[in-house]
Amino acid sequence: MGMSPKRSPGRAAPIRESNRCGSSVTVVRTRLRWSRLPLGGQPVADSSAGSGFGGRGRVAGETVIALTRSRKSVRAVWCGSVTLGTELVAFDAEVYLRRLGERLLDDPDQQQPRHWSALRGAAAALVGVGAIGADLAWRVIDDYATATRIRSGKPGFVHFDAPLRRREAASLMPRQTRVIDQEILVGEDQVLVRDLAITADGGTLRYRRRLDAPGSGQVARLSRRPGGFPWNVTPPDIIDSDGNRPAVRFGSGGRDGEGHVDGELELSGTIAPEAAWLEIDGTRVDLYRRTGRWEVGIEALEDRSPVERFLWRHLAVADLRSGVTTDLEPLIQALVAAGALEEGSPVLQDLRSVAARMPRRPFHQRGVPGGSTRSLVEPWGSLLRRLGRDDGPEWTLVLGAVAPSCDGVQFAANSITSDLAGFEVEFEVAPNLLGVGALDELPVAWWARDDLENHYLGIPTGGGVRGDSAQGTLRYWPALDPRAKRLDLLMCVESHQAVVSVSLPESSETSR
Amino acid sequence: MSHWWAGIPAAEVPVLCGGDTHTVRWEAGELIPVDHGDPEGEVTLAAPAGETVACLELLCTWSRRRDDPHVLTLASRGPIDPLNVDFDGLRFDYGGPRRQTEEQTLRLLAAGGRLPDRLQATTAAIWTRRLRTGHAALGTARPQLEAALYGRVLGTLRTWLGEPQLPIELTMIGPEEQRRIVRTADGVDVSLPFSWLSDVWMRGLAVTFGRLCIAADTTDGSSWTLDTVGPDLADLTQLTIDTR
Repeated sequence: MGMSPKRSPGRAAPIRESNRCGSSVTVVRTRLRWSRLPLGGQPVADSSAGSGFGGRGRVAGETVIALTRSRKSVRAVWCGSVTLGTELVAFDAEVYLRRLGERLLDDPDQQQPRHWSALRGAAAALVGVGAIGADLAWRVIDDYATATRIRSGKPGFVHFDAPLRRREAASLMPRQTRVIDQEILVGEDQVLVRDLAITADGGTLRYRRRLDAPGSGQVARLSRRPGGFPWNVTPPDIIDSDGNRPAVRFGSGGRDGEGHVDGELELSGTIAPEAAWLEIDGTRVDLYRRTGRWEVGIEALEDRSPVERFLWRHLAVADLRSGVTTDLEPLIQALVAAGALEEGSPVLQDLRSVAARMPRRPFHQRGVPGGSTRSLVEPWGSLLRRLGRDDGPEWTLVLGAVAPSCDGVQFAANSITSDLAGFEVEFEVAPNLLGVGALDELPVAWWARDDLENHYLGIPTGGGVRGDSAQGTLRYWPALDPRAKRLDLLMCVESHQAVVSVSLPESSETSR
Repeated sequence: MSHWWAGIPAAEVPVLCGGDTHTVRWEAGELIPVDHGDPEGEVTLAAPAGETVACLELLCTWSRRRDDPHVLTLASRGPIDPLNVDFDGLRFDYGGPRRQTEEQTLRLLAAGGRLPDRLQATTAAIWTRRLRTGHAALGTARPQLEAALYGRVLGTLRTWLGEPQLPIELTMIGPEEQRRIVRTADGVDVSLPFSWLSDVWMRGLAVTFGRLCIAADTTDGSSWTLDTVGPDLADLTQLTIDTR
């Protein structure tokens, strides 16, 4: 079993091989000598063993080839067994992330543009446990975003600055919300004037324009003013019952809904808090006090380890862009690799049990994959128990509730609209949280709970920026339990959550 | 002991320079402005008038960026990973020195021909040497170097074995340590030095005659000894190629 030439040396035809660097190499007069190195049976004790010997081995189903290279020669070594010892290597988070980046480059299906890099979750996990700084982690994300871009052939940004940390924002203005709920004719359009939120220096008038036919939304979007404004170019004149005439401009809020377009008018100047009506371009609409009853407060979040909180939070926060539930595995693998989490730990079992039953797209899922939810930890069990139900009550409740600032974040719930499959909350939040968050900040989760111990999860589905705050719509799933009498809207930040507790209407009390 | 560029063919790129199409050639590890006999003199002459000489600008950019490990992050991982840079369509989200260095790197990678491949071969050779001799920037560069090696080993093995999802575990070892390649229950464990990039991959020897080359050696740049394994990773065979 010594040297056993497979092919004797001899002349061969010229060979043209494609060179890795691109040029072709013409090998003229090639002589090939195939040789099998002598086999040896002795195992190599460790990876630094210097006395090489040729051979090969097959132990426990694994074949090992090792090659010792000295300055003068190359010696091929077969290791007779896999007894090279366990090499303890300090975890290097940057190397970990860069290797993940390499795998993503090798698998174009997993590449995602801009700030939504698939590296982001693992990077946030490693930043969260202090394995790497946020700036360096972002540099890795950015490097691979560039690498992806220059393979796409597409123009655009090759780099992105790291997302900013949350800024301090001015408090949201306390407001009195008055229900209007009256349709008026604007040009040829019927416009539903929904409500008026009155603040110390003005207000916001919200309206809804119904679209004539399904599919006309696209045309409306192309032709309308910002926010679906139906009044041609000039905002309407508005006067209140006390004779105040605030300045009116198009608001930045509003969104396209199913068969309608919502919009806002921003009013600047005094509006009488006790005003009984408004006139909009001469058309009078009455102001009512028929808003929902609510209370606000702050609660401490359950005490968890930072790693547990990080993972549960990310499971609760869907991808902002797509609404798809976060895939926890890259985060878990990063934390396990960093030694911050033990594979097989109870919390990991709980997380994976829940994650396996979470709908990928919560708004398009009917029924829980994987059967019973009884074994799932709360609040996840009660969240998933009602998944796919379509028995939600149908009503809209105007609120105008402003929660206290919680871990530096404040939110206001302007209204709740429940439908068969879920419910929506039109909200404001300061500072603006609707963009991409910094790697070293926990994303804010939007939970809700009712008095029957059901839980609900909200996902921002659109919105706009207003100064240093943002406004938009949170869509919650699953359907609101029709028997519920109270609903708590919960904004979970770092260690606390802000609560807006709302008394729900009987079906006969519904508005709009 | 051969030069690192032994076995890497020359490469040329056309450059629009002063209204003419000139040639810049990479050969034996150096970039040469073929149509400029006295590059330094021309630069001196052009500077007061605020003029630039495109061929010499390219050389200048090359010399600034050739030791930047970021080149290895961006450059191609081989024939199955072509770059497609729309350089004029690229936008940058920041300014300052970082934008300048990145533009320079991307300009080189978009230069066409085989120049981008020669650039990364040069970068790999520089860092192979620095890993051996030591360098002040090694601490910050090492993660990029490890990733550069990993990415190219990953692409090579997956393509060679026809297993696009094959998990690869790589240990970047020192040049004198044992090279290993092991088929495990989960995938393949590989131990290779960074110098594998210069010695093997950049020369296009990673897969030779259908076998994975884990080491290549030459004393004269003509006769090569390759240590190779077959797709079952179970037989180590030495090939000798004489290109004379």
